[in-house]
Amino acid sequence: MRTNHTITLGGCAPAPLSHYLKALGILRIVSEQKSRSARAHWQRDQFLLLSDLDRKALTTFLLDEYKPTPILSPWNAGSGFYYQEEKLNKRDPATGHKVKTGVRNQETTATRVVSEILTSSNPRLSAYRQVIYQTKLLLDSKGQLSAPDTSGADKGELLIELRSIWPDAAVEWLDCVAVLASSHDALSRTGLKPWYTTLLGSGANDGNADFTSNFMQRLTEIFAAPREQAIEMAEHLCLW
Amino acid sequence: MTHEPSAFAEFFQQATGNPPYAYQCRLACGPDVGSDSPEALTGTAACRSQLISIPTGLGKTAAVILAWLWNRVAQPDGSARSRWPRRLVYCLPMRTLVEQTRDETRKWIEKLARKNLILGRPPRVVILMGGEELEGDAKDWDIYPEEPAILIGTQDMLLSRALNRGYGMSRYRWPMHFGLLNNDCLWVLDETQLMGVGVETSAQLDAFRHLVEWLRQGPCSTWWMSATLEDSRLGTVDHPAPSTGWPCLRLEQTDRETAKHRLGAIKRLHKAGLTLSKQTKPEHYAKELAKVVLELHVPDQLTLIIVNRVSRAQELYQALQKSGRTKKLSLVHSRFRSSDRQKHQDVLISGTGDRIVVATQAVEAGLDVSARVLITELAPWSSLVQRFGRCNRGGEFNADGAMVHWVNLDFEHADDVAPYTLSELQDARVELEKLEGHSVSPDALGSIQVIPRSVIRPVLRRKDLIDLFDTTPDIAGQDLDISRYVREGVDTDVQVFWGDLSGTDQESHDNIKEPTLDELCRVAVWRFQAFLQKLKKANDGRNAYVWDGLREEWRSETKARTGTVYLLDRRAGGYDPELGWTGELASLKKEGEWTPVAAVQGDRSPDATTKDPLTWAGQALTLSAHTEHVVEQLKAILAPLALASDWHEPLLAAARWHDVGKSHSAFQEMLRTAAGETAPEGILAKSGGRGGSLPRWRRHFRHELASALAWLENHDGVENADLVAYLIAAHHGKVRLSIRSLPEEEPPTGAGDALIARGILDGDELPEIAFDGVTMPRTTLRLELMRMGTDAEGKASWLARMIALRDRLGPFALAYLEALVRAADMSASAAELNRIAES
Repeated sequence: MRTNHTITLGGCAPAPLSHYLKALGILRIVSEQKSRSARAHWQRDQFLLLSDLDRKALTTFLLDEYKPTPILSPWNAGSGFYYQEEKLNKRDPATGHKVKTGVRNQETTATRVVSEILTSSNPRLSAYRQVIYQTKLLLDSKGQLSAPDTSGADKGELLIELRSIWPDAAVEWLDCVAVLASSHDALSRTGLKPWYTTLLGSGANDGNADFTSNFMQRLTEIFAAPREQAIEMAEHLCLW
Repeated sequence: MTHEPSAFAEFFQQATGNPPYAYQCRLACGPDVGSDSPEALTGTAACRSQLISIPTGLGKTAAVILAWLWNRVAQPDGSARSRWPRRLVYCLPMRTLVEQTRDETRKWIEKLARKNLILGRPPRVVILMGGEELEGDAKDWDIYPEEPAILIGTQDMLLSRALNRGYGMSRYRWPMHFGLLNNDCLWVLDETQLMGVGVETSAQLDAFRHLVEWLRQGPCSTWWMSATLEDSRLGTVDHPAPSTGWPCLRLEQTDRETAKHRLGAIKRLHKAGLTLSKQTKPEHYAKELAKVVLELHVPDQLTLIIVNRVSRAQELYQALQKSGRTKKLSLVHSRFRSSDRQKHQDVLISGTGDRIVVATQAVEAGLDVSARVLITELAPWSSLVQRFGRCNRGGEFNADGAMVHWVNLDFEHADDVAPYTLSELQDARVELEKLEGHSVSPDALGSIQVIPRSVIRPVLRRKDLIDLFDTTPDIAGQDLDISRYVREGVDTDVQVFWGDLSGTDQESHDNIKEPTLDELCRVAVWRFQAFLQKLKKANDGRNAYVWDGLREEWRSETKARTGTVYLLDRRAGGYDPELGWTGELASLKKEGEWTPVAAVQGDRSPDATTKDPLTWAGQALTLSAHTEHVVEQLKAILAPLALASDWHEPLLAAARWHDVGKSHSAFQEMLRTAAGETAPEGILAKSGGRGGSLPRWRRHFRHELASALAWLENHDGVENADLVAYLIAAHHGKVRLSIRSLPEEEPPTGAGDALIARGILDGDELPEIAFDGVTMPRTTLRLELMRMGTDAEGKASWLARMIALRDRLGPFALAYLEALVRAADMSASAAELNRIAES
C-alpha cells in the first residue's frame, strides 16, 4: 500500500457539516482518481489524509487533473435545463406583475453554465458533457420544456428514467439525492416512490437554490481563473 | 452401446415425432441450413445472444430445447459441446407454462435416451417455482455444477436467483444459484411480451456477463423469444443495440409454406353483444357473460373464455355453475395452490371433447390448447395476439370454422382496467373494430403493427448488482428489494401457505415445517396486504407469520412484502380449493370456511443461522475422513469443467481447510456428547447423532468462520490467501462479505469487552492438526479483522479484503467458485449419508 504521506487538512474539520462533507468528498475523489489506497481519519478535529500525495501534489491534482463527477438535477426548475418564460414590458393591471408570453426562451445563469460546460472542450469535463447531452436528448424526446410537476408521478418517473440511462458515475450521484422505494401508495405505475435525502433538500435544492448549478458555476470559475488565484481558492479557502 | 451421430432432422423427429421446420434446423445447425438438406444437418451452430421472432404455435419450445440438446449433449466431439453452455435456463412469464415445458422436455429427453441419441447421463430437468422441490433427483441440482441441466421456471424464480435474492428458497443458498445461473448458462426468455421489466433486466444481465473486467466461467448467451417483441427494449444502457441490429431468427419462405395451415388458420372475429363498464354490476356481468358462453359453446368442443381479472374469472365460473353447467367446467388462474390448480388445468390441457374453461391471462401464452370458440375481454394488442393463438391453433377447425368473440371494456379510470392501461386498450379496440367479421389468423395479424406506448421501467445497474452480491441483511434485518427488476411494480406477488395453528401453545407453531410447492399459493402483494388488514381488524388471535431465521421461530407479521413466504392460520381462510385465493376472511366459528391444509406437507424445518445440517451425518466421522471426501468430490467436479487451472489450487486449499474450525474445543465437546462411545478417535467432523450443545453465549457459533480465521492466521500474505479465506467462510452461505456479531451476542462474563462474532471469542484457540494436505500448528483466532480500517500492523480488514476480492474477480466468478466448494461439501456429505444408509 503506497500511503507515504499524511497531510492535515485544516479546512475539513468535523464541524460545520459542510466541512465534514468536504472531507468525505476529497477522500472519495483522491481514492477514485489518484491514490486508490488512500485512507483518512479525523484527529483532534483535524482531517488527516493518508495517501501518496503531499500537500503540493494534492493541490496540483485538484487544479490540473481532478475530473468532476457529473452531478445534475434536471427535475428542478433551476437546474439549467429549462429556459424561463419570456415576459413583456407590459404589466398585468390585476397583479402588477409583468405579463408572460408562455414562450420559454429566456436564458438564466443556470442555463448558461450548462451550455458553457456542454460547449467546452476541456477533457476534464467530458463526463459532464456526456451526461448533459444524454439528459437533453431525453428531455427533448419527452417534449419536456419545463421542470416536471411535483404533485404527480412525473418528477419521480423522470428520476427513474435518468437512473436508467445515465452513466454509472452519475447514477451514484442520483442515488445520493433520492432512494426509489417500492411503495403501495406510489403515484407511478412502476410502483416506486422517491424519498429524498434530507441533506440534499427535495432533490439537490434548498428552495430555489440549486446545488448542482452552484457546483457547476464554481467549477467553471476555478477552471477559468488565473493560476495564482486558483491556488488561492483551492488552498486557502478550501483545504488548509 | 455406441453413440451414432445422426442428422438433426432425425434427432428432432425421434424426440418429437414430427419433422423440424427449417427455422428449427437453422437454430441448431447454423443459419445456412434447411431441413431439405440432410447432409448439412449434422453440423453445429454457434451459441450467441439473439432474438427469436416466430409466431405462436410453431414449436419454439422444441426449437430451443432440441437445439441445446443437439449441441450440448448429443455431439460426440467434446470441443463442439464445450462451445455451448452447460445449463439451459428456460424462463417463462407464467407458472402455467412451466410444468407444460418440463413435461414436454422430459418426454423428448426420454425418447432420445431410449434411442441412445444422448451421450452419457441424460441432463436433469428441474423446475424452480418456489417452495421446496420434492423430487429427489431434482431437489439438489445445484450440487452438480459439472453436469448439464435444464432449469425451467417463472421469471420471478429465475431472475430473483440471477440477482442473488432467490424467491422461495433458503437465503443461505442464494449465492450458489447466483453463481450457477450467471456462468456457463444459455438463458432463454420465452413470451417476452409478457415479461415487463424482466426484459430490460435480462438485457442488462447479459451485458454484465460479458463485461471484460469481470471474470466468468463458460459461455453465456441469452435468447429472447416472442412473436411481438419490441427489440428496442433490449437496447439498455450497458447493452446497446449493435450497429447492424440484433441477430434475429425469423421465419423464411420455406417455413411459411410448411406451416400454411397454421399461419392461415381461420377464426372469425366478432364483437360480443355485452360491454363491461363502471355501471355494470359484477354479478350481472357474470350472469350475462355465462349466457353468452352457453349460447356460443359448440357441443363436444372446447370453449375458452379469457378475462382480465381473477375475481371476474371466479364470478363467471360460479355463474356458469348456477346456470347448470357443473361438469367439464374448469377455472384456470395463477392464484391457486398447485395441486388445486392442477385438477382444473387437467381439464384444459389433458382433457378432450366437450369442455368450458374460464381463465385469466395465465393461459395467454404458450399453452398448447386449441379452442373452437374463444371469448376474450378487450386486452392490449400483444395479449390479444397471444389469446387468438389459443383458438384453432393447428388449423383443425378450418373446415367447420372457429370463432373469436371479444367483450368491450368501457372505463374512464386507469385503476378500473389495471393491470392494463386505458391507452393500450384504446389502441387495441381500434384494430379489433377494423377486423370485425374477418379472420384473425397469424398471417392476417402479421401485417398489423400496433406500437406499444412507451413504459417507464427501472433498469438494473451495475452498482445494484454489486450491492446484491452481499447477502448479509441490513441492521434492521431487511434485504435489498429486487422486485422492481423482476416484474412490473403493479404485478408482484407474495406466497402463502396454511397451517393448523389452533393449539394454544408454542408447539403448534414449532411443528410447522418449510412449505412444499403443493402448499403455496401466490397472491398479489396488495391483495394480501388488504387481507392482513382484515385480520388485524378481527384481532382474535389469528395471524400471518414469517420465518425469522435469527430467532428460529415463526414471527407474526402485519406487512406484505413481495417475494416473502407467509404462514397463515388455516382458520383465517382467504382461500377456496375450488376458486383459489378469494381474500375472504373466514368466520372463526364456521369450520367450513377455514382453509384445508394441503394434503402434502414439508418435513424440513426452515433454515436458520445457527443450523448446521451437514454436521449431523448418521454416523460419526473424523475431520480427516470428511475432508478427504470433500477434496475427492471437488476434484471430480473440477475434472469435466474447463476451469482455468489457476483456480484449482485455491479451491482445493479451501476444501482442505473448510472444516478445521470444527476442531474448536467447544464444538468438539458438543459433537462428542452426541457421537456416543463408538465414535472414532481424533477430531470429529460429524457427530452421527443429535444432542450436545454449545454454551448459550456461543449459540451462534459458526465453525466456518473459525476455519477462515485459522487459515488466514497461517497463510496471510500468500497468493490467493484472501480468496481461500472467503471460500472457506462462505461454505454455508452464512459468513461472506462481512463479519459481525449477531443481535444479543455478548462475550461471556469475565471476558470484558473482548470481540465476539458468530460464537467465536477473540483469542479462542484451535489445537494442532495434521492430516493429509493440512498441517496447522496450535492457532489463536483473532477477530481484529472484523474492525473497520487497517490494524496496528497495517493489515486490511476482512471487509476491505473481501470487497477487493469481489472487485478483482467480479461477482459472478466469485459466486461460482463459492458454489463449487459448497457443491463438493454438500455432495460429499450426501454420499456419506448414503454409504451409511447402505451399510
